[in-house]
Amino acid sequence: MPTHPLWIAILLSGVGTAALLVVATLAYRRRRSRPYLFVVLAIGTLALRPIVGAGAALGHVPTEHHHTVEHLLDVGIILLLVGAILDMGPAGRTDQDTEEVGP
Amino acid sequence: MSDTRAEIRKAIEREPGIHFSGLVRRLSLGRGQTQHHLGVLVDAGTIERFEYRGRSHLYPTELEGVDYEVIALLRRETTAAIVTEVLEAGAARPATLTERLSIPRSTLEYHLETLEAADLTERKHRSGNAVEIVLTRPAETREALDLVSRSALSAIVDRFERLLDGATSTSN
Repeated sequence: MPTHPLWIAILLSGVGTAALLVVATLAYRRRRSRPYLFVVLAIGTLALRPIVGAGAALGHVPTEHHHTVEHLLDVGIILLLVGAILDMGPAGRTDQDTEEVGP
Repeated sequence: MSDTRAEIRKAIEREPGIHFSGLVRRLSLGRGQTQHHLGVLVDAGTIERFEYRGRSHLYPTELEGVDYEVIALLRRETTAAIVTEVLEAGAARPATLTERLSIPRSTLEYHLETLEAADLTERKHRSGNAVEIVLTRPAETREALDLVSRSALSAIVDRFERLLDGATSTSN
């Protein structure tokens, strides 16, 4: 049975990323733009890490592989964040016209 | 009624006093499309438009007994924050407000002038040079604040949006 600190860490990261994912998903539902989607997917990938971690701790993921899996998830997160950044386009562009006088 | 139009109506009912640009952003619609549907809703008498300080604020017609100007003001985040601080403290000194809200004195002055013009706050001169800000209509203001205050979750989502967009593209 794994040590308690490991479970506490997995629990905290699981709850934390799940909460972040909820906020990001709500923001994406409001905005429906691609940078938001990338950020949701990146946080979603981050949320997979505690799941893999728990799987490894319980013996469902072979111990020799779980580090590889987690580092590959990191690569996925990096790619998604780079995608979000590149998708923002050149300076000055936002995904809507900013404040101006209404109709 | 078309789906988009129903969505627009629902969004305004959820956030009475939302301004046009805020609505466009909230629903991720085109400006022209939103304007068209709003026109129909206004003509039908479902939605009312209130022009205030360069923005068009939208209200469900069935909403009664609210001061459109007060709600429009409280929809602006910094203004609402100032009013909330003063409401909670009963009276607040300008220095306390700038410190608590991390805003420059000039920004505070600008918002106070707007609030004074709307007869929401006033300055009371205390002994010496001390000035305190108080609410002129606390009970009414609290009611209006309750109407515009959003759930803690949507306030967090607002901030998350601002993180990605940069501070320039949200209200205020």
